Amino acid sequence: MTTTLFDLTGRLALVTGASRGIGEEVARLLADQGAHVIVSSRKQDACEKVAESIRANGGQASAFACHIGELEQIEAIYQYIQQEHGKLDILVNNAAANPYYGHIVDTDLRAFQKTVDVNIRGYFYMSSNACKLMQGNGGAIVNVASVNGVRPGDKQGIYSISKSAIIGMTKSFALECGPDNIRVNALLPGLTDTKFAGALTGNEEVLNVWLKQIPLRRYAQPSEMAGTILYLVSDASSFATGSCITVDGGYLI
Amino acid sequence: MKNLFDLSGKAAVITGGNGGIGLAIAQALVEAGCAVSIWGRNPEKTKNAEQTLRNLGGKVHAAICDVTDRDAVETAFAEAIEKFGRIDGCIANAGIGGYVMLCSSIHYTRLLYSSITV
Ligand SMILES: NC(=O)c1ccc[n+]([C@@H]2O[C@H](COP(=O)([O-])OP(=O)(O)OC[C@H]3O[C@@H](n4cnc5c(N)ncnc54)[C@H](OP(=O)(O)O)[C@@H]3O)[C@@H](O)[C@H]2O)c1
Repeated sequence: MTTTLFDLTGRLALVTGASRGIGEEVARLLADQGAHVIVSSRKQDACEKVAESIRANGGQASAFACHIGELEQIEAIYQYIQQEHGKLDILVNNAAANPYYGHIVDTDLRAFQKTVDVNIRGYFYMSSNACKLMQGNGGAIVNVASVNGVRPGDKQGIYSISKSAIIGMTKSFALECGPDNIRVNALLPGLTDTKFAGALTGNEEVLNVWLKQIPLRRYAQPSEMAGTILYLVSDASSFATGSCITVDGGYLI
Repeated sequence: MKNLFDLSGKAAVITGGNGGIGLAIAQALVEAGCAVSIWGRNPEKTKNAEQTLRNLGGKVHAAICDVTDRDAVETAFAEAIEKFGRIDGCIANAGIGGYVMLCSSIHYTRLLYSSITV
């Protein structure tokens, strides 16, 4: 294969929620393509493990913990990136919270606040800081939203609302940062086999209801999300911005 | 390195593959290792595109084919399968632009056909 459209040699990528699940697969794939990946989540040791295993495979990676619901921690990671690398080419906003499962009317306000702090303010402040570092050189941001941002999940009201906000955020950042050659796109995963979806995939009754609505009749493996993210952060998608790519086995048809 | 985008051993048809976006698609597929069958109406354009793709080292089949002509489509498919032994994907890219309001009904029918055949 001679195509270099997906080559990320020399690029610096920050992936949040990269200690497991979709984020971990993304971190590994971007490193495979030559990027230096900063593996981030709330737990330094968990990030260190992933970074270590990427390095053991010949890739470049470092670990830096950051709770994206905490503004000072976001500022700290960007300070580190500025000092250590002086630039950022790629941000994958992937870490998210889903602390409440229940009727929307009964939503606990602390769970509401946590969802907003992590999924909306966290994605937003991560993006605005990234854009400031990307100005001049350009860059690519991918926001991991969800099919629930388009069709709300039952008993997942505030989570679904936050994912709709992420879709809107993707378009607003794309609009205003396009002139700086910063591309901002979203991935909308469908049901994927991770800890996050364990409550759905682990309950046969609930799972069967879901599977009936997925034309491919199965849920995804986290690695099946990584290819689309690679496409969106690489030169293969150099004219794509503000787009939302659904990878859901056909759920939203 | 994982090659998620490697198309070695696969073959694809690209209608309208002799110029513009269609040719760019064919080039990208060839660069990813795919054999391509490009279809176009203009013989000279098609020949030049075939040469361009061969220069990239691609396995290429080219057909003169108007996608509104069912027989021509069937012949082109048969040739491509004969040459590559398989077809894994089809990029239905050929289309004609025009101001529908100003089109004669024949033109409109052609416009419809070129969008829905294949
Ligand atoms: N799985 C699905 O079916 C599905 C469907 C649609 C969308 N999604 C979206 O996909 C993304 C990834 O989810 P996943 O399924 O891969 O989940 P996962 O396996 O549970 O992984 C979540 C990751 O986020 C980190 N994290 C959680 N809260 C964080 C916070 N406040 N700050 C920083 N990091 C945090 C976790 O690590 P620590 O615990 O170390 O912080 C972990 O690395 C999310 O945006 C989710 O909404 C998932």
